[in-house]
Amino acid sequence: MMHSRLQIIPAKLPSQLTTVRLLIRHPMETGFRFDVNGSAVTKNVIHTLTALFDGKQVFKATLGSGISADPFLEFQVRTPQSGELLLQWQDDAGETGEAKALISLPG
Amino acid sequence: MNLRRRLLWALGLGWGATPALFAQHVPQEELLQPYVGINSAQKGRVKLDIARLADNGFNVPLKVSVASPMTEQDHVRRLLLLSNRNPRPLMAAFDFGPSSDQVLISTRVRLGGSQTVYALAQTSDGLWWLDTAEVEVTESACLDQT
Repeated sequence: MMHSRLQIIPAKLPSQLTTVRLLIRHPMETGFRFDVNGSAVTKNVIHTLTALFDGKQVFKATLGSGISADPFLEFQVRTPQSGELLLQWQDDAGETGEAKALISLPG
Repeated sequence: MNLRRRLLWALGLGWGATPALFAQHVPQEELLQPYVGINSAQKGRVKLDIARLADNGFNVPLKVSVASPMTEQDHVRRLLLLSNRNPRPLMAAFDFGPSSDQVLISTRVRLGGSQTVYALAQTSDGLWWLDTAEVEVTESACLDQT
């Protein structure tokens, strides 16, 4: 299980947006690096990240080695009603992670 | 051919192959071609916000926004972040649907040297929109062994 921090800034009005901020602890190994023994470090990056709101995909990101270690991502979602936001991601080593949060809108 | 000459020859060959191995600036058409195909990307709608000077290439914050009503008929389908100097030009791709609202992304990228960063967006009508930003990188993220 990967460490992650998820911050949700819910919309104040139904017409507004909800901001999602996600920070994952991950080396995002490029595969171009060599360790002290001179052997290549295998590439291991988080390649896909999806955001589901009430089970429906609202956002998808495909990341590469061009994204910094400990990737940070901020994006907006439209949520017509309150519900659960689930973020799932997967790295090249097959390890997966997820974070979820409840988006509660006023009214 | 004696060993010394052979070694020198190999060295020369290695030198000749260097530009292909070391990261070079990829021209715009060549960089965008795999994504836009025969179409061309036009400037506008996309706004790429990135500092002109990046101290640390390992961690360059950026912000991209795309002006779009985000309706069923007219929305942003895809947003790509490209680098013309990194060994892998595609840094990230984001997929949206009409259910996504305003396209506003911030993230942090690795840049292997001073270069131009491209933000390329495709709208639902199939058109490609582009914004570019020049970035001076003081300390390059050594994405390859350069």
